[in-house]
Amino acid sequence: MPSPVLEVRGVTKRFSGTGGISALNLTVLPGELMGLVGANGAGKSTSLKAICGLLEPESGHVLLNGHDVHASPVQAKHHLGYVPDGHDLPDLVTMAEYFEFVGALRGLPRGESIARGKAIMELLHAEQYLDSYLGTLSHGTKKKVQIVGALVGKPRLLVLDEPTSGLDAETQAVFKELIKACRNRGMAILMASHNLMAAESLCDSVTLIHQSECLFSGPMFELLKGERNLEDAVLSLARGTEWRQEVAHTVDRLAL
Amino acid sequence: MRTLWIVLRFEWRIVRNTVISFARRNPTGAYLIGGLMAAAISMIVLANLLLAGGLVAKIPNALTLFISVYIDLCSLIAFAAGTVLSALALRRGRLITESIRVLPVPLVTLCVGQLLPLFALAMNVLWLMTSGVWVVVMNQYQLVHWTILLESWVLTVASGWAGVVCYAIGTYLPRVFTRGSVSQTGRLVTQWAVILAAIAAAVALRNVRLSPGTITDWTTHGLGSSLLAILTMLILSVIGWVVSERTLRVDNPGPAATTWIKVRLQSRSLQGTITRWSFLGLLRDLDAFSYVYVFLLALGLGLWGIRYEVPEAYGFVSGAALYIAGFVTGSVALCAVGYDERIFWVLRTAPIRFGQYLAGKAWAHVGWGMALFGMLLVLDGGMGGFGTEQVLAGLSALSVCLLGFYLGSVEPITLEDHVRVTAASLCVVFLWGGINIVAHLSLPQALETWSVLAPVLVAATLLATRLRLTVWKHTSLWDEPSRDAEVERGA
Repeated sequence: MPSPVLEVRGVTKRFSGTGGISALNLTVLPGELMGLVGANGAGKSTSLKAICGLLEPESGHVLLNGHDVHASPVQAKHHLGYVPDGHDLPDLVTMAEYFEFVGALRGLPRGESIARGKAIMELLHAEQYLDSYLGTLSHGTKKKVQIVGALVGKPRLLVLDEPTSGLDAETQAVFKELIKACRNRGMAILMASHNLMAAESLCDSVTLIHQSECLFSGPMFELLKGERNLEDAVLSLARGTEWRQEVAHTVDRLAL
Repeated sequence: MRTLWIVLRFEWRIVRNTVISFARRNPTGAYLIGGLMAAAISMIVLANLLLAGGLVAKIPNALTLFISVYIDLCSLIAFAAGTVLSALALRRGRLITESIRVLPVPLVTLCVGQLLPLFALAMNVLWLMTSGVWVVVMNQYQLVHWTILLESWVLTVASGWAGVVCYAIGTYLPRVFTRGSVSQTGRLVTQWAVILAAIAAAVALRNVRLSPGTITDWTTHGLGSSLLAILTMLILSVIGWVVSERTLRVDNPGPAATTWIKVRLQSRSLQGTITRWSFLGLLRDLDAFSYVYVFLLALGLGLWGIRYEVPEAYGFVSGAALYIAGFVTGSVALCAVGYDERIFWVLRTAPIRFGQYLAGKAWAHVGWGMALFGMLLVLDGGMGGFGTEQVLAGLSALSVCLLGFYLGSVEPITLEDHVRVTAASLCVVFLWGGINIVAHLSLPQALETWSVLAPVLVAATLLATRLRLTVWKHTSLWDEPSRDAEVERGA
């Protein structure tokens, strides 16, 4: 069995009020595509940020390629690609300059970084913006830049936080094929998504977070045992079996 | 080093692109700044050539003076332009983002990358060279002994750099300690804590240097008062850090967050009130105007030094002049390119509101200036020993501090507010003068110190009054953009 690319052991990060994550454990192997699912505010983004070293957990450890992401962040992040949920790219650099910067930090020559970025951008039909300032790009194109920026440096682990938000249907389809192909070549991928259908079709394994607690982490087929699909499985774990009746009852009571 | 080089190169790209983008949007401004910078560089080269060829001695005095003044003026503009462009680059670059922070770069390297905007560095080197030429020219004519000139030059440059470095450290230090997540307020508080600590160190060093001799001398004058200065500023810095640390949690309050912060988060209206009136709320307003305070500090130190016949004082005064020139030029440029969105908003909406905005802001800044000036006087009171005169002088300065904070916290909205503030400011002037007379027991001395601040205050009062009343006649609108959106947003 290959050694895991990502090991999360007992990571806890709490906020006052709601949010955060409690005692998260998960492992992602090379060539594994794991989905991180849960409702809004369940703790998915917090988990991803703790995994990428953007948030320091109160307890627990995150090991990326065997390096603790908080104790030795530079080594740990060397093979990490991350696509955040928001758009926080620098405005006044061009797409090519951005790819060059990202690639240079991972040891790629200038020409190679730009060529790799351009090749992936061509797949996503956005190569024409290579010399445009990032601040002038549309929401969807910025998301493409983030995706390509994460892939340019040949990461061993790709962490995606709602990667398809803002992308059109055609690009979403290309993106899915892209990450499937990356997975097939041995890249480990951890993807947080609200889109349970997409997660079911793409992911080999799944981690379900509900109200900051990890309810399940394991192979997809185990979660789907006895359920029609991932949506049913997630809802039955997170809300029990009575939720449909509760909805119908509330609608009746309010005469909606 | 390789990583730092990559980060710096990327930073340079941002600066370069900012300049290009600025020039495309404001071609006239770009030509103006570019022309002045070219003029400054050419004059520096010319002056150096003249000096090298020994020709300066043959030039008439008046022309030499003109050349030195011209060079200084050009270098001021170059310095201001460099600062403005660096500020723009820093603001728009936003290098420390989530996408960048997950790259294999130490956060400190990213901060250093942002801390060294190369354009500002180039402009500051230019400024330094110009000052050097000026020193040599002045020495050539033996107008002032070269050691004094050199000392004031070094101190001027050092004070200028200290301001820039302190500002940068204060801006980025919190990000290092919080891994990039920091609130606007936390950033500003830390910024000021660092600036105050640096001033304390400078004052302490100066004091030790001015008290050579026996250990007894050091104890009674140098060491004792240095320790007092350091202690005062350390306490202020620690308070700054503590407040900063607590404020940082506003973004992400944990179990240790104070009740005050929780209340602040929970109550939107209360939050607005606190933001408007609190010390932290005031700090938030200072971001775009920090050069004013650096100027006031340098000017204050200079005037204080002149009073005690300290040679470096002239350096501080010239440093202050440099800063105010930079600030004025910078502010105009910033307004022109919309650096401060609120100013830009005012400019877009109606020119008359710009005057209204300035009038309101002027009050806050006059008050803050007074507060800082007062703080210097507190140090002044402590520096010369611990006699009754010094204690009284310190107390009078403290009163100026407190009233300054009060004035600084008021942005008069109604006519009544305005009258109240005007009256309060005049009271401060007379109170301060009166206390000084008592403290110094010497009318000429009191008048001397009083005369420094009183005209400034009166002029500022009259100007603000005039502006505000003019505005008031034309419009009663004051629909400033809501600050709620800005409150405690991560920097």
